[in-house]
Amino acid sequence: MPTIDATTIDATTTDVPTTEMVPPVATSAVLVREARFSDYDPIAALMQRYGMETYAREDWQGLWKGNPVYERRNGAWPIGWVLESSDARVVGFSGNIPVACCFSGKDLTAAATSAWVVDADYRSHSMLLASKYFAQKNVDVLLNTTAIHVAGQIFRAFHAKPIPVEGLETALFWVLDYRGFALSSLVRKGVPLAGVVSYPAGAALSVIAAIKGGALGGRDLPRVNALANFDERFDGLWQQLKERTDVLLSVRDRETLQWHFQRSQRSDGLWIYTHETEGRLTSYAIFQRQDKADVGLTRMRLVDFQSVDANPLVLDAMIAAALRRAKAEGVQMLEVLGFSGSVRSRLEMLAPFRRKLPSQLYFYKALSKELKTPLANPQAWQPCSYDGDSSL
Amino acid sequence: MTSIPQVPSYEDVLPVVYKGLDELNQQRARNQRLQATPECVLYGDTGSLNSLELSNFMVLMEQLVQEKFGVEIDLTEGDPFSSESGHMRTAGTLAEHISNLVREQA
Repeated sequence: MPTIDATTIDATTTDVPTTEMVPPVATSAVLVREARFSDYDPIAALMQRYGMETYAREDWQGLWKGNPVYERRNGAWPIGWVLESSDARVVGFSGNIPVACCFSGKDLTAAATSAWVVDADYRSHSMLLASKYFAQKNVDVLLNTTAIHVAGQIFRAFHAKPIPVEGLETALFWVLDYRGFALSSLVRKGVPLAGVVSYPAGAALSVIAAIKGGALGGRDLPRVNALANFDERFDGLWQQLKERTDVLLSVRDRETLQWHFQRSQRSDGLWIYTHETEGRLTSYAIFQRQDKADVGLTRMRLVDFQSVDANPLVLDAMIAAALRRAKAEGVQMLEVLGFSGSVRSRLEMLAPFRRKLPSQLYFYKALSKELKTPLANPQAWQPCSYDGDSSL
Repeated sequence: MTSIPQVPSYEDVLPVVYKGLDELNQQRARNQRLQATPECVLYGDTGSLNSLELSNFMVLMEQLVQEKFGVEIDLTEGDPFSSESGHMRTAGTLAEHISNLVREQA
């Protein structure tokens, strides 16, 4: 779910009481208060007015209900904040999703901001939402993994920092349907006669792809399996992954993965590939359908890859499997955002295309003092679309 | 060389806030520029700054205070946008708040 939409911020549920009931704060005509599940209708209407993707009521509530962190805290967590006008209309919202993390052997809680939207007439009051988000307690890290430019500036003002990993502002991708992809790109750019132009543009893309090649073809790749669900073996792999104490990792046990991807699984928009070594699960990749319907783009994204295998060809094999399936199902492109270190390097070698993102997407603020120095180290991060709200 | 008061008063800080407003004004249309007065509204229903301008202004003011008084401050703490007590309401409330913050650290 996008955090802050470019068109909204001038540029970003039952009524279970959350945390202590804090009295609403008024700034003359505008009031900010904790959001309630019963605010769903006006929040969804507001998001729709600004062209943002909205969830069905149950899916929206499911960002918190069933969320392992929210449940462990018995709902003592602000699901977000709303701005109310003097006539009690909801004119702004920012969601606040709890995310379990692990670092240096400690279990941590991150708060991921999500679906930030403010009515155009109340734009300056975005700062009220931001100050609530940044003032929250009982959280170790604040995360924004879907920030647009303005959100990034607001986050910087509140002393959040870009995640210190190179390459995060560049997406890597493969094209499976050159003409279809070209058409959606031309529509997005508002090019006249996009349908006609898409034929030569698609042909040009196919030539570029042929020249750049990519390192996937013509080799024996390790065997990978396609799964429909997360089974108990994911718990075993997570126990191994969390031993890497120097990296801040979002929790990836079976329960959390099931909650995280429940909506995608229901809509048949999730591909899970695994690799086994001596009967044990040692690697997995998760691809999620993330279309852009307004321009006719069909897209799969690699949203997570974790491995305790030393063999880099495991990643190649999973990408190759996803590309075959995407091609067979008529998906126009496969894209990757984020990742670092050897995984990112490998992906850069494999992917024939890249595009510059409009802004740095990933920001964090360490609230725990003991995290400030370690999280300033690039080695502490392996950001990908599993983090924050990018793939919820 | 400008002498730096050890414990700057409100009157010492106000010109620094005006300098920030001046830099902000350079990004705004002539007819939308803010007046350098203590009553100049930064945030609130009659304020004209959008969230991006407010964000940039806060960052700028923290830098100016560091340069002028050699003190690191955080303007995001302490409910800056409260209608009753928020220090981001006007140029005057901001100068008062910065003066207090710098005094606390002196």
